[in-house]
Amino acid sequence: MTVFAEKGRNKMRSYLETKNLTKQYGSFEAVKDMNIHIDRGEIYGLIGPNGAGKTTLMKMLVGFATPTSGDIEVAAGDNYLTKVGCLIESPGIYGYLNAFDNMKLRAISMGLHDKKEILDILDFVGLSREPKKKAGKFSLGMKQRLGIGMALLGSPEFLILDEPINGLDPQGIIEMRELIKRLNEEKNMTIMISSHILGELQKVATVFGIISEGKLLTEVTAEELKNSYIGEADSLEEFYLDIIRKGQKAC
Amino acid sequence: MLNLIKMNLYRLFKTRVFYVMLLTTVILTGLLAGMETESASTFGEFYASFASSGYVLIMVGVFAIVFSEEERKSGFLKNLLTTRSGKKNIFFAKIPVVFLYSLFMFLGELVASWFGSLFWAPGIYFGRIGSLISFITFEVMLHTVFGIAMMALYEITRNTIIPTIITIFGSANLHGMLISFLETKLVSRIPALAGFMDKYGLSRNFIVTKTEDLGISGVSVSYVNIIVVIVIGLILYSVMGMFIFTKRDTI
Repeated sequence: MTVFAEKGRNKMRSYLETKNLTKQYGSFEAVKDMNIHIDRGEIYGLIGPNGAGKTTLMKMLVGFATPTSGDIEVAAGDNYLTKVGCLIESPGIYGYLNAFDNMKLRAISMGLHDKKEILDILDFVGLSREPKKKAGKFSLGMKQRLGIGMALLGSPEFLILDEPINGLDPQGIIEMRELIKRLNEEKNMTIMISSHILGELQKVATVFGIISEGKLLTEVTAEELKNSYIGEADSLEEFYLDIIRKGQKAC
Repeated sequence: MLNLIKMNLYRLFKTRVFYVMLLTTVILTGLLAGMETESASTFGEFYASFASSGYVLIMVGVFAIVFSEEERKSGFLKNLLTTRSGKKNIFFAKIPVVFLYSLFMFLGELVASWFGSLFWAPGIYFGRIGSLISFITFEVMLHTVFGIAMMALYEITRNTIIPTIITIFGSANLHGMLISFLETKLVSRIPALAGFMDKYGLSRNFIVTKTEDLGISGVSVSYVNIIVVIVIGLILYSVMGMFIFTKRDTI
């Protein structure tokens, strides 16, 4: 089923690969023999229906969940987790603390003592104008930006974002899109992002991985999608539906 | 590990609940001091009987549960990316905070009792400072172990209700009474066990029993025995908590 896998991708630039990654909860297999491949500097869009295994896959990549079997191979080496930032499900912030204190807590846990780094990141994610406001009183968009800000501490190489635009208003979605693009372009960050809003994902991602029922159905680059598949504005949506239908038939 | 401890301490002093609980304890102790001053001949005795009443045990137990729950419920735990083997540090790093919280509670009670005694029993003889220091030291250690036990219980259940109920019943030593009843029954059937039970009976060696024993004036306590209980409890509950935390998925 992996139609475009490996095509047009440079093995030398490989950042992360999973080898038959599987996660089982009792008798339920949330992720089955997953083999994904992410190159350095890519924005990897992870797509799939609810319950497809996207979050479980991301949890395994950051060490929250232990794989039942399989491997995660990372070019960054053994201390890979020190080079990863993530925002999974919802931003992990204390509502009774302000943005700075939330950032400071994570910075302390990482052994970072540079106050300037925190202030710079707060400025980068657009939260420097709310120094005393408690995070619990933030809008959803501000919380998401703070979550990303916390993930950016320590200058990670790899950023994992699980549905970061969920529940955001149009302005928030635009801001998030711009932020993701800037992180990729200015900081050369490799990013994995999952979303159900395919049109939005198509605007930022350079590669797409489609999963369903815990299995990877295909990986395709944005360029391949544009040139080889349909070439229309909503090509990702049609491609996705096509792949899901084929996947269901195959099952 | 040191960074995680620093992070937890930073959070402790930024948590409003900590100050509210401390202030409540101080005010309650000051107001209720009069109930105990009548039966005590020295300030030390009065303070010991008051501080070992089980109130601080409830406070420490509930604090340990809430401190852990806050980290998980807020999602902040997701910011602490670590390997599976490194996960045990996340649990262990909370132990110094529980210790410090217990210490603050005892010192708060000490100050409040002193001011209370000035009002309720002016001119009361202070007693030996050495005894007071050793009382506080052992009580703080025992309370810390109790807090760790509740933290481990929280990690097993991953909800606050069951550990809180056990904290309340445990602080009243209901488990000690139950075991003591069973031990008495056993001795009545096998009288030869009387000597053994008197020395090594489980009910005599619970953390809560020891905290109670320390507060009863005129009763000689074996400090070696208390140290053994503290060490066994510390190892048992810390290892249990770390093992469960490491074994299960973070979120």
